[in-house]
Amino acid sequence: MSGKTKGHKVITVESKSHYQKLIEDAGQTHVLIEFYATWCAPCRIIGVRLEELAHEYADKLVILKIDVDDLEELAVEFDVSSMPTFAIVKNKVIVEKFVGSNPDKVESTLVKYCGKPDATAATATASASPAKSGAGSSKAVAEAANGKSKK
Amino acid sequence: MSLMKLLGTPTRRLLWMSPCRIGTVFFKCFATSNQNTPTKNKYDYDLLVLGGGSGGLACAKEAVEHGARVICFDFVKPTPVGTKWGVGGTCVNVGCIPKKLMHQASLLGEAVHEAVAYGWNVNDQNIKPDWKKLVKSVQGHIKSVNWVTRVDLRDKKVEYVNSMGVFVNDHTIEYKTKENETKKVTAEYIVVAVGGRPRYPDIPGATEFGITSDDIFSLEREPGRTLVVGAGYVGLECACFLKGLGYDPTVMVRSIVLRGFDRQMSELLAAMMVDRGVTFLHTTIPTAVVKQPDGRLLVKYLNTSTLAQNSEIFDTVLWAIGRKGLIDDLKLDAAGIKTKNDKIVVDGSEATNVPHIFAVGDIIYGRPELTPVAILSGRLLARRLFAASNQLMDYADVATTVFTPLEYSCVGMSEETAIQKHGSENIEVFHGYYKPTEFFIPQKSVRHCYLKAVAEITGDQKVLGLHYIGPVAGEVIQGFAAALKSGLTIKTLLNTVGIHPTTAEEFTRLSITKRSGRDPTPASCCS
Repeated sequence: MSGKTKGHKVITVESKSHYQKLIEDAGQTHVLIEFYATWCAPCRIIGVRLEELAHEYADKLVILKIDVDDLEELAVEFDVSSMPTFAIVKNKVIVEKFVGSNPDKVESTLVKYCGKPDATAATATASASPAKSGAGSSKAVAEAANGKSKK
Repeated sequence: MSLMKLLGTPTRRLLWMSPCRIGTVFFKCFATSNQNTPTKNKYDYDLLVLGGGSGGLACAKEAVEHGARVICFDFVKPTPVGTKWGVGGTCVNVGCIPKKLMHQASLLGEAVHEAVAYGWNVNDQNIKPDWKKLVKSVQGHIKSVNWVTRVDLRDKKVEYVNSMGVFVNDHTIEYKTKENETKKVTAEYIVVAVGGRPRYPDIPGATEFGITSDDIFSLEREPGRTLVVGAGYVGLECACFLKGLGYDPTVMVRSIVLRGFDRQMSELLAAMMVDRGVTFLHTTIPTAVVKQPDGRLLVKYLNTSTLAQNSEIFDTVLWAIGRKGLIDDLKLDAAGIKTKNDKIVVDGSEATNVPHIFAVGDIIYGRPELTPVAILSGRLLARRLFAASNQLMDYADVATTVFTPLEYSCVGMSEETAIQKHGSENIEVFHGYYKPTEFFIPQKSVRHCYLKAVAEITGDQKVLGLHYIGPVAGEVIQGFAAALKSGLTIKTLLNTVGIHPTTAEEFTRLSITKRSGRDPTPASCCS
């Protein structure tokens, strides 16, 4: 059953059984998994965008992050060698996997499987960080000018 | 291998006794032994390596290249204060790598101040090192190396077990899994590469309050005023990077600095450290460490020359009094392996007294305790075992470097060893002080920039040893190590055109001998 709170934050996987439960609970919803390491600088950089995407996609997507040092067994299962490695899982099946801290690649892959993110949610994150998306920021500026800023 | 021994194992017995059932028994016993082994032999693995450090990993990875089935055990017993680390051994986790990074950190601190003289508008009054940030960066790098090591083992299909393997007999190792099950593994060849760990002195408070190089590179608090006990390269290197990072180190020396190294160069290096503000307590031994109410440490010590007793307060006490081989937990007796002074004795082919059991790396008695030595000897051993190679490890003329802020690097014989072996009348020593070009502008001290070549006196004068104190000493000496191995002579050296301006070229400019008595201090460069 998809909970309301799910999909709004990136969930840090704590154990293999926790992972299995999260995948089970996701049901038909797509799951984006990021394999990261605490010492991986590019992971930290894209981590910020992932939190935004979790909010933007809301219930359309579940985002999990797995620390490869803590959960080596899962990293081996997914054949992870470098970080960040991303995987899209649907109905417990890995449908896509790619490597690299590339926000455009992450976003385009999510659009491919989940469509565009929720428009208002996307605007809210865009107005919080105007440099991110061109269309979003001009809309945000227009709304702010009209005193209609979501925040 | 006797027939009786062959029949001894249960699977073989079944095969022999019921030939009509050979088909099913054959597949059953091989199905349970190892996943994808063909009919090969009766052991679970061709090679079992104890220790996932420089020597063990090199041996394991080379062996798989030649088709061996390999399993590698690695386990780190936490230090008294609880420090532990991942796969990769001493070098990666608590040795060469973090040491060099901290050395670099302290050199950069110097460089920032020198930059002012070169015209950089640096506000060097306020530049302070952030110990915690440095430790975080260093540990982050180490963890990335741990990761790459594990991926490499996975990719190369070396079975890796993070557990302490102990001997049951000369072909069998026992270990506990993470679920606390006891398991046994057999192998045709076993390589012991478990390395060593720092020693603690047998005085009150040593283990409770002192730390070692195992702990310093991940120390969560700032080291503060530190007592380094021990004047081998570990002690001197630690004292120097602590000094460079703004802490106040004292080095306690039992007898001499850098035992085993060239005496003159060692004394010069110590003088360089004194010049930089490191305090030395000579001919002194610690007698007790007592924790004070404010958390600081009171160290009581004795000067063995004057017999004066004294005490001083420090924030940190770092033991760097030597390393012991990790033979205690292995149950070597169960395999009948001979040891000496807590190391394993091996012959020229790294074989122990048990022909199919070998040892590489720091655990070997009487060989240089260096990563590149462990790596090369591990690889050559694997080639001899699995690739029909005859090549033995050459332990002679191994270059090494002490990473103090002016570094000391050498290859070949010390002056005193050359004199002892050949007689002083058969030796010529060329030497000189020099002035690195870059030192002038910031007015850096050149007092300890010195090098010498120890050579035979006759003929083309074969070079027996090269010694250098100065910047990037390791980089300077590495090429000369290959030259020495190729039979470098003074004639060739002095006919080699130098690269200018460098410090390495000083080796090609050596002209003053010790015998001549002339002043080895240079007047100027270029002529």
